[in-house]
Amino acid sequence: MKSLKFIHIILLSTILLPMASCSEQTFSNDAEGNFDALWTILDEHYTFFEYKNVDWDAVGRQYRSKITKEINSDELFDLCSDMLKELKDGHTNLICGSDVSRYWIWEKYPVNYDERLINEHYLNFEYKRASGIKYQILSNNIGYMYYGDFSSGIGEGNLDAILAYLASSDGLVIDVRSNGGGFLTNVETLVGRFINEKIKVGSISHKTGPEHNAFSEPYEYYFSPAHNRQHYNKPIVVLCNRGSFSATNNFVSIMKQLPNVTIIGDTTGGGCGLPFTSELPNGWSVRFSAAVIRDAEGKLTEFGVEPDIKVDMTEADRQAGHDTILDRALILLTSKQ
Amino acid sequence: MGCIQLCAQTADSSYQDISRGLEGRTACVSGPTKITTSIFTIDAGYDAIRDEYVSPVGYSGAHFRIGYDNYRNNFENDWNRIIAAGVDYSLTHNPAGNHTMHSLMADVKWATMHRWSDMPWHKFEVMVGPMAQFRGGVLYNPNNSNNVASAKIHLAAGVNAMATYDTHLWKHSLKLAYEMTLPVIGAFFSPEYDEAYYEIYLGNRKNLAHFGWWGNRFDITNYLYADYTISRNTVLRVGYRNRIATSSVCNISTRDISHAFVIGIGCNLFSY
Repeated sequence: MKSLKFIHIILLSTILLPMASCSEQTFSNDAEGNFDALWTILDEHYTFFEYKNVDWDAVGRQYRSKITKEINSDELFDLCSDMLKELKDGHTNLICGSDVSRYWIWEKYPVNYDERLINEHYLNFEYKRASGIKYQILSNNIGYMYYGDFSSGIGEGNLDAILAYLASSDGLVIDVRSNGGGFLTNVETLVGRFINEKIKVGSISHKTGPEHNAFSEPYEYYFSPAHNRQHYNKPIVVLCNRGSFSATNNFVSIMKQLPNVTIIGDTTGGGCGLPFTSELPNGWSVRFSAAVIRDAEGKLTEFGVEPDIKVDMTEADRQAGHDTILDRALILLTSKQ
Repeated sequence: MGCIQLCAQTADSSYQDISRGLEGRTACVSGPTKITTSIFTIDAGYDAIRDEYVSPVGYSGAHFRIGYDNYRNNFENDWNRIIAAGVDYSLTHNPAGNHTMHSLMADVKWATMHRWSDMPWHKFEVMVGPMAQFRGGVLYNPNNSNNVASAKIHLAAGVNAMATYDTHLWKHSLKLAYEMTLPVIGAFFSPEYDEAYYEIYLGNRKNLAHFGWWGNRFDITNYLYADYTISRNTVLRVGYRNRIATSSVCNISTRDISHAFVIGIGCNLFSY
């Protein structure tokens, strides 16, 4: 009979205990419910409220008051998009079947990059390409490599071949203009070829709870030189513009601390948050910054990395077949020969 | 110990009858000392998953599992042993139907249970004993960015309990069983609230392993089945399996509830 009592206790536990560790927050699939879900997701997970001095409660009240009973899906999307733009964050997007809301500040700045111009007037349409990297040695014996997307995987073997080819050059231009970012692991792969010792490259911290100031202690992280791989240790210039965003922003911030590297161009597009994705009851996705990456000095680069030498492309140069920013880099590298 | 050999029993002289005789200490000396039942099972059913690391919205959809159960009835003492393993996959969708989440998990369980056969009803047995379990796998939501996946690793110790009833149907042996697997304490993996796996990759391994108990993790599997011995030592199984798992750690709540119809086939091996 004792065994039966024990069984009764176990069976009762199976009914009651599933509730013990389960707490849920649900929203209805209507205009108010989806708006509240979006606001709550950002309220609990977004990282830069304090840094950007955003009063999210006030923002929520302001936009929620605009919801009417007659509001349709497109209007709700626009309303929610406008609310997200208050965060001034290129990593924050609302995504539905027909549109992606965005705060791409770089679209309002000079482009400062013309691929056709470089292909025609600097590379003469003669260039090599591997792992998404376009490269060539220019006529003045300066190496040039353009990497346009950090989502393009970089093979170590490909990188060996690229840098071996460029090894005879007197200096190297790494052009990451209009590179909108991608995988941070590619940043590590690339940087590993330009350093000779382990270096601190930054720190990362994440939200630890829904409170706006709940962050983990910054975790410092380091990159090591690529072992037994082709390196490049001569003078380097990194070209960037406002379209150099996210992982590219991170790459520029790391390269900037290297002694043989000069950053030329425009301020990068920023984006030092690590984006997570969530969703609303109606299936819309929302992407937002959920963790923070600081540079080696502990600074946030959410609004960009300033170049060592600020240069904009001029229209006159462009018309004449010159890239003002690349020309400035070539002058600098040639002077260091 | 005696060797294992296949028993050429007649259909109406099933292993349950033999075991019953041994329980009553009236069997002949040549009867089996152990009967091991090995069953391969296939589950098909429904799974409802909610994991706040991946999405605040619940996903639901089809659930499948292939498994192997190995039960050993030991008549030399009152302890039975179970080894069970399986791999399950769930293909789930969000309520709006525009996003998909995949769940791929593997589990292994070992349990030994004390057998009580002096129950009020004839041919009714109850078994309860300690259990050790591993369960691990991944949730994958391709719609996401740096929270595209959530790894699951769980090591637990707990209770395994069974109640069985032996009867006959059309002159063949039929065993009705209910089995409950209930982890009590253990350790499990969880990233922190908004901690990306990239940060873990960079080397930050703080606060990833958590002590599991009923206050932060509850997991129970209810398994109801009928084993029908159709000829000699061939066993067919039909059943229902339900698993309820919830957790709440690092401000991340998860829930996984599955219901599945189970079919299986296996055999009895007799040790003398």
